[in-house]
Amino acid sequence: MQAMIEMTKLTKAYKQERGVFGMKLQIRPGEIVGIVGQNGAGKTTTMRMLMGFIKPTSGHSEISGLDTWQSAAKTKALIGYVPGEIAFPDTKSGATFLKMQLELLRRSQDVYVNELIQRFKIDLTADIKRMSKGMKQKTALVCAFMTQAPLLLLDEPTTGLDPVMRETFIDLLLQVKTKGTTVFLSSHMFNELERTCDRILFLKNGQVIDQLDQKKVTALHQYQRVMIQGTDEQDYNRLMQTNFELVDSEPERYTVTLLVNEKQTAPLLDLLQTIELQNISFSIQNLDNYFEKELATH
Amino acid sequence: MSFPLLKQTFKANFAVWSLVTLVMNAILAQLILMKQTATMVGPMYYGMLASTIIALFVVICGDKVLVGQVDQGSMAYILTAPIKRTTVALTQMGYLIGSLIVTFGLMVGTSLLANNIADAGFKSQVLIDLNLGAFMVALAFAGIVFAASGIFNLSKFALGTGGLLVILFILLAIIGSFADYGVKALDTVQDLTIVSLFDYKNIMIEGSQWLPKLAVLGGIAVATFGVGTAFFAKKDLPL
Repeated sequence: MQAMIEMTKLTKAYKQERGVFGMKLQIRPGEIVGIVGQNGAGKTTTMRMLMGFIKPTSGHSEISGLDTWQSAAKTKALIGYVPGEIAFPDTKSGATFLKMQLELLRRSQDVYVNELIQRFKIDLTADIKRMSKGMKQKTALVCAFMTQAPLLLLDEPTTGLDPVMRETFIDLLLQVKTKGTTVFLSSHMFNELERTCDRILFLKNGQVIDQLDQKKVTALHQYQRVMIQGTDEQDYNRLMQTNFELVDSEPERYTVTLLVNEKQTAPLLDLLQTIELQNISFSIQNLDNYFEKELATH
Repeated sequence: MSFPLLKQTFKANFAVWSLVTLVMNAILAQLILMKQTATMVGPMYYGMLASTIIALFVVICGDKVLVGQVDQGSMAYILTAPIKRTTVALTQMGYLIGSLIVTFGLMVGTSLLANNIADAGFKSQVLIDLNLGAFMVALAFAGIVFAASGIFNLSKFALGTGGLLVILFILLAIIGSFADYGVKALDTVQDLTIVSLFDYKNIMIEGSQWLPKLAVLGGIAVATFGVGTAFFAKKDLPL
């Protein structure tokens, strides 16, 4: 099957070693792939190259077999896009903006568009210049989803959304996934990707340094982070000498955080018996924790 | 050309365009209608005012049609549609040229009508030629601003180059015009501005030198509109 997105040694070099370097990636139709990384890691640059807004320094990328730079106008017919920075054209209200956009896309306001407007609870009469960040973001999301394109490119789509709307967005994403839509989205919030993405790429300094698939995520969830606080230095030293993976330590509070596999309950209980426990807490290992480690080691 | 985009651009710029067109027609009619001022139609209106007022529209809207939307980020929405960048540039160019044609077309009507009513004594052909000349200056201005608008990604750079150049040409034309009032040393200043390629004096005496000069303005317009379109089609856009 032809890949929906294919990047071959895709590079955009900016000054001061910024940009994207030698990116190689294949996304199958129907896949949801997330790309995470800190500010300046190259997420937006990647999106802009896929949109044909910027020309790669070397290498190339394709959408459904069409070169994203050479055939930019043709590939757009396959894409719904949310830019990283939302700025609407000079127009009165959300309603006039959507109308303008539908005209450009040569579509009419159908049932699906109305459904999207209702789902995101958008007040279309609001003055477009006075819209809040969240409202603008929601309107931009409607614009992308209403294309009903086979590919959605979403650059930090949940910026400014409240938790309820974030849920709405995730639901919608899962819904379009069932229809076979391919989604490539970026985020700096790792956890929201966990529920929707088949794969998560970790981008640092313009390079993919790690890739998590569902299997890896499940493996990740088999770990608990256990924060143990002892009473004195002796406890602390004992905690530091265990075979568990150490995540964090605070000598002043005699506290350590360990990574414990679900099969390691017995040794953990043994350890706990040897110290005078002040406090203990468990939390599930999630992507935030995982990438924290990645950030520190790479 | 993209019709939906043309419609958007027309709506977005309607206020400035209509105001400028209204003011230009009103002043022109006024000057022709009043006996004492009819002599100033050439040196004052076509020599200075026409290019100055239309420059307002050209600079504001020329900036807005491309670079303004790139700088602001809203160009992303236009380019999300399956539309070529060249088509976007050509549509915006079509808008600028089209609106200038309408403005000066209306001025032809206004001037002929006023001339008729007031019996000001202008030959119809002279009035038509004068408006054609002023149109060509406006077209060259539009091309210059459009080129800057296509080349740059920041409004301030486009205004600082294209916009500034247009204002500079107007200032030089105004300074140079004093050569006609006895300051001979300023003759050379007239050679420094493209506004003087619109030889209204020659048109008014029904000479033959003015037409080739207008062709030069046409050449400037073709080149600059071409440059703007080419750059816009090829450059990296921060959207």
